[in-house]
Amino acid sequence: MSGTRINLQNSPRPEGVIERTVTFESHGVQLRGVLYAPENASPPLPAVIVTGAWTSVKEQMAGTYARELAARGYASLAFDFRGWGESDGSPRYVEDPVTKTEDIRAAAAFLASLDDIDPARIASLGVCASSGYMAVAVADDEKLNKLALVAPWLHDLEMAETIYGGADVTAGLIASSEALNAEDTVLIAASQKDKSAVMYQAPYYTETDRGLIASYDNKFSALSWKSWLNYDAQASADRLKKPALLVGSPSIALPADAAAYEARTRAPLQKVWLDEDVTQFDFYDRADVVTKSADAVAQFLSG
Amino acid sequence: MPSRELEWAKQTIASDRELAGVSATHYDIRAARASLPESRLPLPEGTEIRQIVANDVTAYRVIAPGADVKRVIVYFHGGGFLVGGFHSHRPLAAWLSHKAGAAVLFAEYRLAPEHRFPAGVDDCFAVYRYALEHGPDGMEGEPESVFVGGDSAGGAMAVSTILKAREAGLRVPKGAIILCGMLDLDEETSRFLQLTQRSRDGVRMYVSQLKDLRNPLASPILADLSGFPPMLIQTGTADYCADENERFAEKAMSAGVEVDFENWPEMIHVWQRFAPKLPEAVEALERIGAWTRLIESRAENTAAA
Repeated sequence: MSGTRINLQNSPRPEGVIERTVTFESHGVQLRGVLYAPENASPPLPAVIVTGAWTSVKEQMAGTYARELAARGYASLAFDFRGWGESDGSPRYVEDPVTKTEDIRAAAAFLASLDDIDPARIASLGVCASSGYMAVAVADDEKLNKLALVAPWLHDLEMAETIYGGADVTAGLIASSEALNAEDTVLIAASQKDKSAVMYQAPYYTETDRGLIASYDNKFSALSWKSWLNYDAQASADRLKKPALLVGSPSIALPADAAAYEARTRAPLQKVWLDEDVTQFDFYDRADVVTKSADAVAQFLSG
Repeated sequence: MPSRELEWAKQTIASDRELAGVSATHYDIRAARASLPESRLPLPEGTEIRQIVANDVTAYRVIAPGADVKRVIVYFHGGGFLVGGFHSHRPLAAWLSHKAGAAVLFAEYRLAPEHRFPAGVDDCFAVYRYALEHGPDGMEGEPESVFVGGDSAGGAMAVSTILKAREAGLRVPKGAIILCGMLDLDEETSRFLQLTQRSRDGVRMYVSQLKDLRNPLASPILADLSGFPPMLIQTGTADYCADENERFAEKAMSAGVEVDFENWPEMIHVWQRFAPKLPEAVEALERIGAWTRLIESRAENTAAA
């Protein structure tokens, strides 16, 4: 059932897509990204910012979706957040929803400043954990006009406690963020063998023919726990007024949270739900799933 | 032969779902909530309704004409733990009060996915405790008899409430009334969940983690039912939860629980909520009323002996 996967190491980018590396500033830090665009398209182009799962870099699922959306007519930006991948900034490898959201807004300002981009048509696509950051950015930033989420991970405080094994566990993790040496404590993000890894035996991140590519930092600062666990990704539901699209399946990691966001927001919302054999990780690189999801996002953005 | 109104009930369900834009393939929470709108069926004339706060949970006390307020049915509505409320179940609560001659204390428990298991279960138990302590008129002092009841997911809540009462060492209710209960949340065994992806999609929204679907407080078919009070279980041959009600009844009986099991020909899932227009709904509520009186009179005889 798993189907063909998009191989990040050697899959050619979709035909008719050109790319250029870009740099822009966010709060005084230089960020690096790749702007994918349809070949031979006449400007100004509609644009979309694409961000991926926690700990991920622009060459992983964000790049995958950016290329797909470029093939569908959008100038699509995948970039590394502050302290991750090729971008500057320290401390490094901190999964900080607040700074990541600021970086998304900096990316929106950057795209809006480009001559070949239509500043009135800059949308966003968040995959997995960055869904929460994207939702905040779209809710609060007038430069962003639409919110698309693929396999959204939208935990709130209560859910974070459940996921990580209870309030005692999360309190311990948060305490490790507050320890004096937290900045020097960098964990392995994903590992097949090392049980201390944050994502022990997770698919995709531990597979060299999938997400475990050379450009992946595969690191996770202990500083992350506090900002990550205390994050309420549901709160933006009250402020979101712009059109939103949820792409997922009954088998994504947190289906109840996606539904809770859906129930809470008053924003016009569409939902494309794939079959229950489609897992969270399938959304990152299963070819038929990526195609369906990218089609759904492109259709939503064009509407 | 079922009444002609059964067709009307089926059409009402179908058109409500169509109007709300319910998807056949996935569970869209906003559409699902819109598909169970405010019921406009009439209430018994002179029914008194008051909203109260019962141990921090919103509840409605419903007293139809002729109801003896010393007799209380704590009632939990259905809707898959995700939808429904007093707005959709008001006539059912009122006609139950009328036909059973008892006050109904209706729990507006918290719904998932905003409030996942066990939030709703905790609320239902809180309302039950209130009923033990206060009586429906809000006066201090214990009511003479307390039953619990519920339809669909509310049937599960009724069982969970008894489990929690037993665990807390509180008095268990005189009896439990389960109408087309959604009693099995395990995809491996529930026929309803095997039926459609939409049903599985919905049930996963009830819990924070899938293993909760095997917690007896969520899925009562897994519960130890020893020491349970008598139960009346009503289902219908066209109820998509018929199978799990039958299995639950068998399980309860083999645990030594006194069970009255009724399988109504051609009746659909929670047909009782179409009272007073659907004659079989009225009849079903009358049987519930008679059953509660029977249980009470037997208890009195036992006490006298």
